[in-house]
Amino acid sequence: MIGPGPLPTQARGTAPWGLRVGVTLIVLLSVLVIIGPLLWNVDPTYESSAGLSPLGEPLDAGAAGHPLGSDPKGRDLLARLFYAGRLTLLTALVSVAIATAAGLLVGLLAANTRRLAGSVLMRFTDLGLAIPGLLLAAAIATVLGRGTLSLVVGLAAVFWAPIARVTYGQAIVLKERDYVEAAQVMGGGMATILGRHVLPHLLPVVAAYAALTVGWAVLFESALGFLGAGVQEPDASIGSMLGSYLIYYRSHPGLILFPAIFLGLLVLAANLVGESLRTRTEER
Amino acid sequence: MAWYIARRLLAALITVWIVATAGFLLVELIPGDPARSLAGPTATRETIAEIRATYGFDDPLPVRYGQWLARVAQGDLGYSFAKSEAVVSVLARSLPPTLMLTALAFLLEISIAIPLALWVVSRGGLADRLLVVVAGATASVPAFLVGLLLIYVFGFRLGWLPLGGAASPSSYVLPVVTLGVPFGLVLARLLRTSLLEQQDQPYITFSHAIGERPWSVRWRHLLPNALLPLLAILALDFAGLFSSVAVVEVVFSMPGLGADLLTGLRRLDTALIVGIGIVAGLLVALVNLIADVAVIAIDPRVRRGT
Amino acid sequence: MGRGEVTGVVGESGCGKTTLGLAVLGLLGRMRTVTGGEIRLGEEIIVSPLVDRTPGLRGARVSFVPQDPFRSFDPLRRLGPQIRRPLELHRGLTADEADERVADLLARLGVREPTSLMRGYPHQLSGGMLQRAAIATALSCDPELVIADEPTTALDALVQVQVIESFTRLVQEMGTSVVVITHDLRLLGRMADRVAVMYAGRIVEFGSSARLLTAPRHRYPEALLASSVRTATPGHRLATIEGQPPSLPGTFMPCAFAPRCRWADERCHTEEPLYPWPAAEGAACHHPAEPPL
Repeated sequence: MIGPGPLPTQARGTAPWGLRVGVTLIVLLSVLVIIGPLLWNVDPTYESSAGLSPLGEPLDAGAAGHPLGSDPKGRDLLARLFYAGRLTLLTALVSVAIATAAGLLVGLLAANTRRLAGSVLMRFTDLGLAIPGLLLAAAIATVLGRGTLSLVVGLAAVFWAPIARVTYGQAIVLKERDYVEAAQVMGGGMATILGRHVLPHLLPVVAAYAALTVGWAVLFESALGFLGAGVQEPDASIGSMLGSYLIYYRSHPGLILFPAIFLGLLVLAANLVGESLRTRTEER
Repeated sequence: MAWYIARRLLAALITVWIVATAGFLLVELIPGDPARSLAGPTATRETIAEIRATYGFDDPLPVRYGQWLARVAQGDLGYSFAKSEAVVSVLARSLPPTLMLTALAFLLEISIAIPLALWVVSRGGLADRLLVVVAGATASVPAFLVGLLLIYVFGFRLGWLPLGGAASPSSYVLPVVTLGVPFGLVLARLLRTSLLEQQDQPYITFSHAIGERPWSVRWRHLLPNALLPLLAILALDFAGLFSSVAVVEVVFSMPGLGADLLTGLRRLDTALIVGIGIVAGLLVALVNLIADVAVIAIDPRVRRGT
Repeated sequence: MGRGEVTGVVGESGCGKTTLGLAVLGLLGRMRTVTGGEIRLGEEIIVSPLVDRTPGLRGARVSFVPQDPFRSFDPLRRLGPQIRRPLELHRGLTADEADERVADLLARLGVREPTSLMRGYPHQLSGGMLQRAAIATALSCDPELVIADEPTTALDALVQVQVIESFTRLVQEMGTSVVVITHDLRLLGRMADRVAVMYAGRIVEFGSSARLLTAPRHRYPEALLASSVRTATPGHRLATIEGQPPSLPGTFMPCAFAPRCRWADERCHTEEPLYPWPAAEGAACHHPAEPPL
């Protein structure tokens, strides 16, 4: 009986290809929204009746000068898509960046202070977690006066809390590890220990979570835009596009379809990256 | 055990307090004159002055906070100018339909997740990979888009189901499906992982060795043990479900908290928005409490604190 | 095996003894299948590449004592219902009737307060109690054969002795045949009438325990005994066996032990030594040790 050696372990299919596809996708989309406007030099805010049909209806995809069609105000859809895509991507990335920075800070701080103070600090994260995320983001974005900045603040205010929790949880566990004890015994200061022993193991986990959060941010942004609580005219984001073109979805589905595709790809990419990062950290 | 439940209850109460505080902070965050924001853009000067007095905006912060807590504790969530009635009465009317939708979606979710996860685990291989992929894909698409798509296909093109409103039982079909299916798939995936973890455990092997039939092993031993760790996740899931419910209500033009939220956002009715936030937070706290108690009831290991 | 006989199966970790035990019960799982040979219970073939009659036998005519008592019971349920399950399933007893029988079994296994044990949850009990519970579960329907997979490995030394005494006594009273899978030679000495030694997935020697534990003929158990601390000569280096046992699954040249054997020759590397079935004593070795005079 001839055969190979020990059974090969089940191949973890998602890990390498997910990361590659996800990152490629994000890079592609980013490049698209950055380079796109340069190649397709049309003003997304240019309202004109030339962009409408004789009956005043938006044009369908493939019409002259409007590859994706136009919107109810005669503005070119492709140009608007670039514009909105850029804003959506930006708000998502910026809000998650802020949330990650704040979350890391609070989480690490809480993990390093004495037990009680640490858990009290963590209680603050409940402020961000007690009320369902979308609701809280919508409330904050509205209360601060609607607009792009308020949106970013609202999103960051919701996302910092779970990141702080994850950081705290991981840091606590890592602190208990033997090599940290060893480092302490050898006389390392807290900052050094943090920097050299805890952080390298912490960052991948937080990075994975942050990637997933980007996906959430995009989804939230679109929902808020849909509800009218996100960016306002003349700014346009994927969400606001979906919100304002909602009533046209039956007659001109393209108005919803194209932004939706962009949205789906973006969130998918974020999820792929986040999930594959997470599986990699779990395997360690 | 009673002590353990008491602790959980205390945690829930603290969460309620935190929710109320969050609401307070939201009102405090309003830039400019908060009284004006609460009164609405069409309010008269008298109304604004009244509001200023009621909310005590001229009083120092701690006093305001105390008053706020007192008011919330008594069930006074302010006045909604957009709806011309007290926030509490608006919410009291909207809560039942929203809860109904949430409950139905939750039921669908579970009915999908359990059989699907069990099936995938017993088949393995392709079905398994497929679930992971599909669950990931549906998680990438926001609920309202799914809802729109379904309305388009089933309501518009095929004309099988109503396009919106809450007139008949059939108008509940699409919203419940929009909510239940994606969450159900995600839950199935989580359950599948948990089932796989439990399946290799010695007590499962022993159950088989005793002569228990495979399906019996699955339902009596495997499933309860696999569901246990998910209870906590389910409770968290509820918060997410809630957000999606609000949006789906808007898409399908159904009455409920979602519609109120939309009104509040459109008209900048801060009192209404904050009120919805508080009620939502309370619901989430309640669901978490129920999940905690359920864990205690099911898992004997946590009861003694051993 | 004969009726009422206790046969030990001994070997290092990974030699396949647990797999053998699970095969008898049809519990190999999805990763392994039966490709040849057969297992018979009495005259009936119960396991073969084409046949699997085990589902109807498990718990009733063939049962299992697990290795890890701490994790072999459902943590969410009390022990009583779990122990009496086979009786409910296979003998149709009511809960009360079954409880009576279970309490009796537990008492015979040395449990002082059976009802209190039955009311408890797995996490509340000690290893010894749990293992007794597992044994009671296995024996409750008076099976013809019990497969005990490392029944003492997870227990403290003192408890091991107690459990083994109770177990041995009970199976003798009941006339049950037992297959004890273990790597504990002491356990074999106490319990086993006959012993099968396994190496790299094959039975390399079989015979009475008395003989095997003192003068085995296959070079592998011989080397094992020689390397045991008990047989060592003070002042001399402890004998060892070089190399590692091969890991399963895989291929090995016949014979599998040849790379580590002092007496191996050409023949050992090309021709598979076979066990002289159906002889009751023998070794699968081309150059077995000479029996002592």
